[in-house]
This record gives sequence, C-alpha cells and structure tokens, in this order.
Amino acid sequence: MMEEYEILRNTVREFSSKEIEAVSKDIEINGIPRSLKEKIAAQGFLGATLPAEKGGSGLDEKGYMIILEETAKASPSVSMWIFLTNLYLKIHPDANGKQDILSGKIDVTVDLSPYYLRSKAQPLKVAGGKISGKRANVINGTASSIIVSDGSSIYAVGSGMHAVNKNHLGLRGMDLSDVDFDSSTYEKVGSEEKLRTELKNSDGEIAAIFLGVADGTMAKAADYSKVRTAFDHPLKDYTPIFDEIVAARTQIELIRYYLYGNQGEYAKALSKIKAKEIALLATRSSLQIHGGYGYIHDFGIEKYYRDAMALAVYFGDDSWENGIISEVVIGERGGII
Amino acid sequence: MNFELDEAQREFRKKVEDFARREFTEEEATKYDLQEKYPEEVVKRMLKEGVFDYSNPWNILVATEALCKYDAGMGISMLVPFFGNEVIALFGNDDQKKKYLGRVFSGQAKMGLAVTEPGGGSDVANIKTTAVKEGDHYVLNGSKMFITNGDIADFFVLLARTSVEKKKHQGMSVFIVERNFEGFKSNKIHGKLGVRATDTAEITLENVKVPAENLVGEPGRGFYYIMTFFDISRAYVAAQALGIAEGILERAVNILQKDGPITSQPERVQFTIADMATRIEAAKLLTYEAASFIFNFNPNPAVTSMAKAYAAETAVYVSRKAMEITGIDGLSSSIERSFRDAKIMEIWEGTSEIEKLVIARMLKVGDTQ
Ligand SMILES: Cc1cc2nc3c(=O)[nH]c(=O)nc-3n(C[C@H](O)[C@H](O)[C@H](O)COP(=O)(O)OP(=O)(O)OC[C@H]3O[C@@H](n4cnc5c(N)ncnc54)[C@H](O)[C@@H]3O)c2cc1C
Repeated sequence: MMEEYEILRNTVREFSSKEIEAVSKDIEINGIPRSLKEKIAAQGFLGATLPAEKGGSGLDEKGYMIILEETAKASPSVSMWIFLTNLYLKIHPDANGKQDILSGKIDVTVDLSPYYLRSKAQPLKVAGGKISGKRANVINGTASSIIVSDGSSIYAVGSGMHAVNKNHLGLRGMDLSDVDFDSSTYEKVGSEEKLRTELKNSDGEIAAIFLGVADGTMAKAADYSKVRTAFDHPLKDYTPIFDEIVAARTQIELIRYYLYGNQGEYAKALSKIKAKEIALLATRSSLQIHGGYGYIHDFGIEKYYRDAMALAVYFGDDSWENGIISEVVIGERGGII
Repeated sequence: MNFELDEAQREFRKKVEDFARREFTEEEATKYDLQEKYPEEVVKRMLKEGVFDYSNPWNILVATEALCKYDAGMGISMLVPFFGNEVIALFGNDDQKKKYLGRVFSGQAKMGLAVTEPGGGSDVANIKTTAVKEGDHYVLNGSKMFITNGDIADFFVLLARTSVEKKKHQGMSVFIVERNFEGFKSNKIHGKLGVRATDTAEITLENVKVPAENLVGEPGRGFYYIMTFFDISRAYVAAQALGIAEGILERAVNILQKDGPITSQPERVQFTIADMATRIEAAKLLTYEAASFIFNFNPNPAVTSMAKAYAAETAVYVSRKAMEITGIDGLSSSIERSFRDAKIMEIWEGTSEIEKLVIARMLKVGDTQ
C-alpha cells in the first residue's frame, strides 16, 4: 500500500512538473487553460474519490491529498481548482453533465464565501421556482454551475448567474467574482449541513494544499540558494538563509508525516492549522531569499506569497478546528472570549 | 526629549494628508495599481501645490510617512522624481547641482539611482558595469536591474567600476548618465507584486559616452558615496514602511469597528491590534531617532539600519495580521494592495539581512565585561 502512494506521488509530481509548471506563470495572467484542465481530467484527478462506477478514480483520501499537495507545489490555483471540482462532485455525484465535468470540459464550483474568515454572506432566496440573491467573492464564480446555499439547503445552479470578476489577491488562475443569481435552472442537492460536513471533512485536503504551497516555494528557494551568489558565496552558505530553509523543511516534513500518518478529525484539525502557518512563513522566506527577483511576476515566486495569504483568508476561520482540539486537550469548549 | 512634531510640522503633515486624501482615492489607487502606470499628472499637481518641500528634511520625512499611509504606490511615486539627489547634493560640484538638481527640484526633470545589476544588489562592490576613460569622456558598458524610474527618468546617478583595485569596494565611481546619451536603453519591468504605480526598469549601457564633467566627486570613491547615500535614504524608507503600517492599522480597525467597539472583539483580535500598534510606535521612535541623527549631521548607521529593518518588518507584520483579523473584508479592501506593497520594504535599499549585517558591524558597545 505504501508503495502505491509513492507511485501515485511520483506520477502526479511528474505530471505537475511537465504540464503545470510549464504554464504556471501564464496561469496567473490568463487563467488555467482549458487544455490543461482536460489533461488534469484525463489523469483522473477530478472525481478523485468517486468510485469507479460513478465515473471517478476511486482513490482514498490519502491519494487525493497527494494530488492536491503535488499540484499546489507548481500552481496553488490549479490545486484549488481541482479541490473545488472534487468538492462539487462529492456533494453532487449525480450532477447533470457529469461527463463534461469529469472530462474537464466545463467548470463547476462551490460557493465557499459563507465560510470565509469573517464572512457576512447573506443566504440566497428560493421562492416561486426561482433562486435569487447576491454573493460576493465566489471563487471561480464564472463556472457553468455553482453550488450555493440558502441557509438551510444547497442548490446546484446552472444558469441565470451574472458574475463580475474582481482584481484579487490570490489564486488568480481562477476569477473571484461577485455573482448575481436570478435563475430558474437549479436543482436541490441536499441540506446545508451536508456542505458544512463535507468542508469540515476536508481539513486534511486543505492542509495538503497549504503544505504543497510551502514545499513548492521553499524547494525553489533552496534551488536558488545554490545558484545565486552574493559576496562571492552561494546564498546557501550563509547561516541565516540556511537556517530558514532548514526550519521550513523541518516543519514541512513533520506536518506531512503526521498528516498522512493519522486519521480522524483531531489530527486533521491540527494539521490544517499548522500547515496554514508554515505556508505563510515559507512563502515570505522564499520571496525574501529571491531578493528583487522574488518581487516580480517573471520569477514565479510572488504568487505563492499572495496565494498563501488568500488561502488563509478563505480557509482561515479555525473555529471548527479549535473546537475539536479544545475537546481533546481541555475536555470541553475553550477559547471563546 | 520631545516626542512630538512641532506645530509647523504638524501643519505641514496635515497639508500633505489633505492632498493624499483628495488625490489617492480608492478609484485612482486601484487604477494605477492595475495598469502599472506612473501617476504623472498627480505628481505635477503635488509640485504645484507645494506639498513637497525639499528645503527641510523633516518635512520630507513627514511627507513620506503621510503619503505612504494613504497609498504606497502613489505615495512613493510622488517622492521618486528626486530619488538619489543627495548624492549630487553632497558630492557633486556646483555646475552639476545647477544643471541637474535645479531642473529636478523645479519639476522639469526626474532622476533615478542605478546601482543594482542583474547579478546582484546586496553585494554592491561586485557590480560589473565598467567605465573607461577615453580623452574627455568615459565609455560605460553594462546593465542595471530593478531601477526605479528606469523608464521615465531623465538622468541617473549611476555606479560603475573605473579601475580594478586590491579591495573590491575601491575603484568604483559615480556618474550622471542622461537617458538621451547614445547607447542608453531601458526596458520596463512589468508584473511587480506591489508598488505598481512606481516605474521599474532594466537599463543597458552599450558604449555610452559620458562626459568627464559628469563624474561625481572623485574617481574611485563611488562605493563610499553610495553607502553614505543609503545611510540617509534608509531613514526615508523607514518612513515609507511606517506610513504603510499606520495606514493598514487604521483601515483594519475601521473595518472591525463596523461591528461595534474593538473591545467587543475576541481578546485574540484585541491582542493582535495591540501588538500591531506597539510595533508601529516602536518603529516610529526608531525612524525619528535615525532621522534626527542624520538631520543633525551626526548620522548613526546602526540606528538607521535598525529603523529601516524594523519598520519594514513592522509593515509586513501589520499587513499579514490585518488580513488575518479582517478576513474577507480586508481582502476585498485596499488592505489587499497594501499587503502587496509592504513586502518591498524588506528588499529595496538594503534587504533586512543586509541591514542586520550593518547593525552588527556598526554597533558601538561599552566595556562592560
Ligand atoms: C521594485 C524595486 C525597485 C528597486 N529600485 C532600485 C533602484 O532604484 N536602484 C537600485 O540600484 N536598485 C533598486 N532595486 C534593487 C534592490 O535594491 C535589490 O533588489 C536589493 O538590494 C537586493 O538585491 P538582489 O535583488 O540582487 O538580491 P541578492 O543580493 O541576490 O540577495 C538575495 C537574498 O540573499 C540575501 N543575502 C545576500 N547576502 C547575504 C548575506 N551575506 N547574508 C545573509 N543573506 C544575504 C539577501 O538579503 C536576499 O534575501 C529595486 C528593487 C525592486 C524590487
């Protein structure tokens, strides 16, 4: 079994470095190209955990986390796109046009805005055969179908959406849109609780994305420290730079070991909080080690700095995780004042 | 000891803030950020209104802080037409001052400072651009990287190697190089993370003939001139960082206050605000202390580097913490832009690592055993 994961990791890594890395800078400007989406689909990364009879790849959670982590190393946007597509399919495994989703021909997304850090998203209204309302900051809001909640149920909406893309901090491979909903083409998918539960169960996956961001950018910093010299020595020889690379690496390895070696919500909650922290730290270190080059698009480093912060806002509300940890560590609820 | 600006300074600061509030609207700041465009027209209005007062260094410091509080990209754009002037003011001759600085201060020309090269910015003594004397002029060859105003300035104060000496930092000289000298080329760099209203370019020099009268000061003293300049300019960068941090804190608190008084926030959030504010206050004291040494003609490079490194770290810290406590509200506000702007503070005019090396080297201690 161990070996299978290693094989999968190598396969994804190879795909990622060949297909994603090559276009990773262009993705920041022009979005994820359709051709790449179709290649990702052909690899079976969409519907990763769906059983084969539902058209999926039948991977377990660990396998899916490997996909997210390895793709995030090259492009956090791509990893997040895979995450959103999979989340959609997990919640709505019998979606209309599933074949087009699974083959990467069309985009779908899940409106996560009610769960962002300090979100005040208002529920949509469902009445008289129509779903209507406004949602701000929907990731990939221009997708063909969006799963949204009205506060008690969730719906897959397939038309009547008007999305206005905004300039945004991170994950620029997808739009971040304010979406106006006024649609009669929608389908009830389940209860709001279903989406919440699915999101809560995603802590391991979210940790894997953060981990990939941290590892991806630090690997580039380590490489750069070998080839860039200052004061006649490669950067790697300077103790402060060396220590930063080692400190990040130590944390990344420990979190990865713990994340993949444990199951259950407690372990995942700890991993998510810790992986977010290392992603924020590593992206700053890496940019700094790259000096002026770290600050400009061409070098493909600044995007990690933006993406880690944006992800921390999208997935930054740790109240659920803190609740779980509190129960284990204190035996009851704490940390509320 | 007095920790307050005097009344004239406070009045001046108010004038600058009024200008920034009026000119650096969210709409304008977003436009220049998105389009990576230098706000030429706004600079003209600033000069016309006398918001910039180069006769008084405290006023420059105060203006820098105040402008960057509203928007770093536009704020720094207001300040950079004069970037590097101190090199000529301190080490240039009267003709150079008259010919070049006169035009800059009257707003007829813009200048820049070109030190960094593709091969390195921290290790200034290792630059590769050469200047060879031929009769009444020098011939310059090489390239410069990440030069602010590189695509728009009329002339540059530029560091080049004039001779090879035993010690690397010897044999370097400073020249005034005009854009219209033959063989000068600039190439705008697109896609900066932040301060996108400012102009940044790569410069190439191919057999550029520079008249010998454009040599600043003595040949071979260039490294020393540039380091002296940095010991001054770093106090201004500290003020940039300070302004950015102050602006972010204000905006973050105002976002949170829409939900009620700050005391109604979880203590976690209150503590974060307290930390942000404390660091800003400490950065301000260091910045003003460094400036006060410099403006009293008694510069203290260790304190200047402390101010620059600490204020830069504070700007970055505040930008990240603000995002954490304001969440999606912050991400959808101008804090997003400031978050991207803040990071440059730890890089330009001496990275934080270089500042720490300066502090360790220049620190003076007593004889306590
Ligand atoms: C937007 C922008 C505008 C700029 N404007 C100008 C300008 O107008 N004029 C100009 O001349 N330059 C300008 N610069 C260049 C800037 O000053 C340099 O980027 C900076 O000095 C760092 O140089 P570098 O990028 O070559 O990094 P490097 O010198 O290659 O350094 C890379 C990393 O190694 C670290 N490092 C280096 N030596 C050591 C050591 N001994 N110990 C520990 N760590 C070390 C550095 O701190 C950094 O983290 C600008 C840069 C940017 C991004």
